[in-house]
Amino acid sequence: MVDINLYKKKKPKLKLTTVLVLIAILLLPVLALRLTIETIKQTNLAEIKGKYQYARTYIGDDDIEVITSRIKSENTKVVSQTNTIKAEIERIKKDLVYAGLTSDFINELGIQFDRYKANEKIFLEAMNITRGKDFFLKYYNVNSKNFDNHQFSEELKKAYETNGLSLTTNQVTIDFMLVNILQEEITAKTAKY
Amino acid sequence: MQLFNRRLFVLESGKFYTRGLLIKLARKQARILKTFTRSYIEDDFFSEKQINAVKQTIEMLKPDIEDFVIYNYPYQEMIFATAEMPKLSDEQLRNAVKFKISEDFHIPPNKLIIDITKADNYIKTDKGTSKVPIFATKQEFMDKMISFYRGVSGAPEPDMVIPDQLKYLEIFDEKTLKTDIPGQSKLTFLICQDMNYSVLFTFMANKLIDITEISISLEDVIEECQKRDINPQKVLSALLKGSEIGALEYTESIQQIFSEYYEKYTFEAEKAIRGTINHLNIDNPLTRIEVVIVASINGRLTLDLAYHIREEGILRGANVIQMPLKKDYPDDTEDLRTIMGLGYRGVRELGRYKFIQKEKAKA
Repeated sequence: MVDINLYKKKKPKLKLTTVLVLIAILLLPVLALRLTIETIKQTNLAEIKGKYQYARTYIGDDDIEVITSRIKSENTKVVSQTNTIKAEIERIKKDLVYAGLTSDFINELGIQFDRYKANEKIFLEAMNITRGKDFFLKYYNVNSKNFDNHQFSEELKKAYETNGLSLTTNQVTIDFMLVNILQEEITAKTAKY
Repeated sequence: MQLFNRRLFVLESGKFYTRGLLIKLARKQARILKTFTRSYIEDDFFSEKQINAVKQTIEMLKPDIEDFVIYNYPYQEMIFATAEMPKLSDEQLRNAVKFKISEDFHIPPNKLIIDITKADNYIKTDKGTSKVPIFATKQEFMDKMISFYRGVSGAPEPDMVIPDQLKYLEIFDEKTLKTDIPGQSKLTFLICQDMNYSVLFTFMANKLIDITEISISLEDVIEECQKRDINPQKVLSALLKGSEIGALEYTESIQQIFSEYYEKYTFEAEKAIRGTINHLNIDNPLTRIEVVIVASINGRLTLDLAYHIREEGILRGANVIQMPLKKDYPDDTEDLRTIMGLGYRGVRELGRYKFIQKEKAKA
């Protein structure tokens, strides 16, 4: 009812324990935040460690030089392995091309032989297929006098050229009474494969 | 450590008794922890017996440095006045009031302590000014009292020092007072009988408009006992405890002393009320009296005083009632009414708390 106070001088006094508890209460949110951050950090670190188990947990100053030289040697190894793989790829590429050439070379011979074997006779004298050398084929193409040309030989050369082979030929025609004989030497430029 | 609860240490000391009270405030409840009372009979304030009693109280209750400390201030050292003031800010009002009291009572302003009631208690006049109730005292006595308590008795520094008579207003259920109806406001008188003073509070509706002394108190009973070779200490103890006076020896003489005392008391109270009515210049004052409320240091003395004043027919048979106490006033602290008033004031300063019964507190 009547708020009278005749003594208003006193300043509030606190005990040391109260002050300490108050400070602790004030610091509590800060500590809690730090603790939370630390916990989150540790959890995430543990997760990362779990994922990358090979990783070193800590790199010291002394380790850096060793690790650098290790990385360098690893890098050299990788570069040399890459070069080996490149060379291998090139070699395989060449092998594939060479395999294609040999296959085409022999295959076309068979195809043309099948096509014209009824009317023409083929006598294979020499056939040389060696890696690093030009393919060589020597044969006799015999047909009757009724036919003007040697179709087997013509078509074979066409087929080789269509397949990308560069050819040099040497032919000699021998004229008999009833048959025409063509002696032909075909050299395909395959030494580079 | 008082972080989640507060404690109050209340010290009520005077010429006849020193009382201490320790109250704990927690969870919106005020609970009495300890009480201590020491009675003695001395002629003056700051007597040796009073020093010892205060020391004992401090030893028994062991107040803490963080306790909220409340002291009573002797009624005799208080000046009550009202001053008609224009509308001013609180600080300006306090300064103006200080100079006015300084002038009226011939005390230099720097040797004066003043405090004014809160603005709700100002009485508005037709001129647009306000009558401000002022409480003042001399700085010298306050310094002496504080150094007496702190230096000699080792008591803690107070947070509040309250004029002794205001303790009655703190336990008084002010809802009893009727609200203000302009032109029809009723007068209520509150007579408070203490050990060494009696005081008359006058209310216009629910506003305190005057405080006057009634020149009789229980001290007169003690003096009369001393004159008649009746052990005054026993009588004092009985009065403080609110014991049945008839249970004491010397029943006949005591009854006579009390009978004469109450007769005189009613007369002095009537004189004080009529004097107040005269100097307040109120129109038709006798028709505006609502009730005469009576209070004393405990329930027993309040009952006796109310009975005698009613029987004597104060103010031609005005309605006399015992002072209604606050709703939460603990029943088991009837004999501690005076210090409870100071306790209520301290509790109010710290927030909204309700007192609980001692038994409830123990349970």
